[in-house]
Amino acid sequence: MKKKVFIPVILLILLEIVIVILFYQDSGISIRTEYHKWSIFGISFHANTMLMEWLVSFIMLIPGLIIGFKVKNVLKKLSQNQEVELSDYIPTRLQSVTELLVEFFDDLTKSTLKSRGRKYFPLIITLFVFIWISNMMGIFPSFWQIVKTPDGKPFLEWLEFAEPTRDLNVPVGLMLIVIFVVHGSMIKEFGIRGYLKSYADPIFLLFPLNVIGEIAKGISLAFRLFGNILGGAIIIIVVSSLVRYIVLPPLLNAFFGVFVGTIQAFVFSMLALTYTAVALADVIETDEEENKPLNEEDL
Amino acid sequence: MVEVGDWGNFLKFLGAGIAIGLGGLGSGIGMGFSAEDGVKGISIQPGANNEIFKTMLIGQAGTGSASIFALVIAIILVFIGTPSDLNQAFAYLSAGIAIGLGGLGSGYGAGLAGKAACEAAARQPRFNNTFLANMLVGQAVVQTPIIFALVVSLILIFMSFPGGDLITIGALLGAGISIGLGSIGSGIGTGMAAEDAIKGMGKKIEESGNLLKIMLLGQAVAQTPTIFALLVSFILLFIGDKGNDLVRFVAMLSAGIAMGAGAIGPGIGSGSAAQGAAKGVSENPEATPVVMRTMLLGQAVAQSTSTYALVIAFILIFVVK
Amino acid sequence: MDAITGADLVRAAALLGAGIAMGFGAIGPGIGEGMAASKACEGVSRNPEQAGLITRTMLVGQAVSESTGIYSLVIALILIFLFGGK
Repeated sequence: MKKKVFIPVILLILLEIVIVILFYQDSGISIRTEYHKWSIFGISFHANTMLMEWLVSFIMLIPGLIIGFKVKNVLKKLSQNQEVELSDYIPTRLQSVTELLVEFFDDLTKSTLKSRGRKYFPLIITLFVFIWISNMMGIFPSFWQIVKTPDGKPFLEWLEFAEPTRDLNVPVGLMLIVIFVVHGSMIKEFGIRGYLKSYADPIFLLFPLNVIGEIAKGISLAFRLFGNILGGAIIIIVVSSLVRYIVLPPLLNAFFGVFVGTIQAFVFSMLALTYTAVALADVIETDEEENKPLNEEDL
Repeated sequence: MVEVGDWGNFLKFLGAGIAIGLGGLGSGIGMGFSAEDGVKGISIQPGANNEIFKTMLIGQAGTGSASIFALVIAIILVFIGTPSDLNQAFAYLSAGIAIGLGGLGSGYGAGLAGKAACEAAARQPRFNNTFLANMLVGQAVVQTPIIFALVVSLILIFMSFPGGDLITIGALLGAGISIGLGSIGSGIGTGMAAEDAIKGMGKKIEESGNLLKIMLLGQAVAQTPTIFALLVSFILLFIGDKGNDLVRFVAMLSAGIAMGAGAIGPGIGSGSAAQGAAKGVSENPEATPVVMRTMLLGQAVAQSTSTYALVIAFILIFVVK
Repeated sequence: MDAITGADLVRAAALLGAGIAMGFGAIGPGIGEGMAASKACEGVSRNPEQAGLITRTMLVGQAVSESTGIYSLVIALILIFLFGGK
């Protein structure tokens, strides 16, 4: 069983070594600052980022579809009074991992937002999974780039496995979603008057500074993710090309790709959760005082 | 081609002096920490003389590697040929600044880890080898910032930046200052995290796995400011703008100062959050998951000022024309 | 090389000031917020049941100590866009 897991990992590592040794040999250090652009209806899109985002969304769908079909199958059998085999009930490996993740985030949102946890749980876990898979995209080598076209350039140079979060537009977009949800739910809970009043806290004079503080919160949320991922990617490129014969690039990828990527995805979703909790603190506290139980039907 | 002659040599030797002078400062203080607790430990537990002595020496050797990196750069700078043009001369100076300032933080931080290992060895001499292994792991992570600084220094020395124009000089100096100042905070911060984690191991040896986990996680997050500083230095190194515009010269230099100095506080702060978490876990190991979550949140918020510095540095580099 | 005019000198000084303001202004809040986080971690380990309350108190304390960092950001932006532009 264990061998099955290790073979693709070893293949990936070998491919990475080969690529770094061949690809960085004469090209020196190059950091991409310009993106290949698609223009649709006069709006230009970063082609690579868009493709990678679609790929990430597609990967996100897979476990949901597989597990969903399985559960649906069992339910169908039950409703038609067919015999359900034991093997239908036993969760597969994919299902166990997914359930672990879902339960972890469910506990997290419930312990932070109390009775309102379920409302924000889908957003928080989607943010985490999306950013996490995005950050993992960088560890796959762009193997087709070893092939050179007749004019000496790498084949399909603009298309590479890069983290979409490396493009500033993606973290800023995610940040806007979080800001929209936080402020939207504040307006919904407290009304426009109560929402505007929260900016005049503790005294009216601090209104502009509170507004700037809110904007700064968003900026730090987006730039923390962007800076970490871009920084890690640049470190991998530069250090790999400097010491390609001595240090194996997979080590760098393991730290800056897998480890930092996971932590930053978790930090982003945690901060989104906490900003919501702080914005709704008054409502959550009153819920707690009234000892409002968790409404099981909502679950 | 601008002839530089003696002035080029002047800047080169200045860089070498700054490198070893500042780089030795941090390691010197750090080795003193190890010796302090080593001597204290032997006076309390004379029976564990051998173990404590070994820990102290190995801890000091680990601390010394920060100054050895600085020494390598200083020696290269002393024996390398006369710079051919003004840009190269300033690149040498900047390399010295980067590794010198970088050694300050990492030397100090690695010393804190060594100090804690000596204390732990005096408390439980039987488990000395566990403390030694964990201390070396901690010190290795503490030295990541200075390795970043070393990479930037080597690029500054061995890449060619032909010509002699104000904007390139500003960018080169900014790159050195950014990573140099930027690695001070994370060096000290990660050292603080290692200190309390290893101290905790000395009190509760059975929790060493938990403590190692929280130490590594805290240290990794505490390095975010340095990664920002490294990002800014690489952008400054490879931006490739040329010209003799005074305003953009100052903008490049200022971007380096903003990001470098802006990374000091958040680095120390998020390190101290990790230190508190390590202390907490050693007191109450059952609460590890909650403490870990609080630590990550606290560190993330403590780093927001470094993201402001990153934004200002980006504006100074890309927007100011 | 073109002659350096007085206006250029003022712009350069404004940009240098912006860098120094943001850089050194970030030191204090960074260390301060870290202290708050450190004590919050210790508190949570002593009393894990009150984790929510302690975390909220930590965030409020950090938000207040961050205000000086935000002041530096505002000053730096003013220096760049009001005095550093052409």
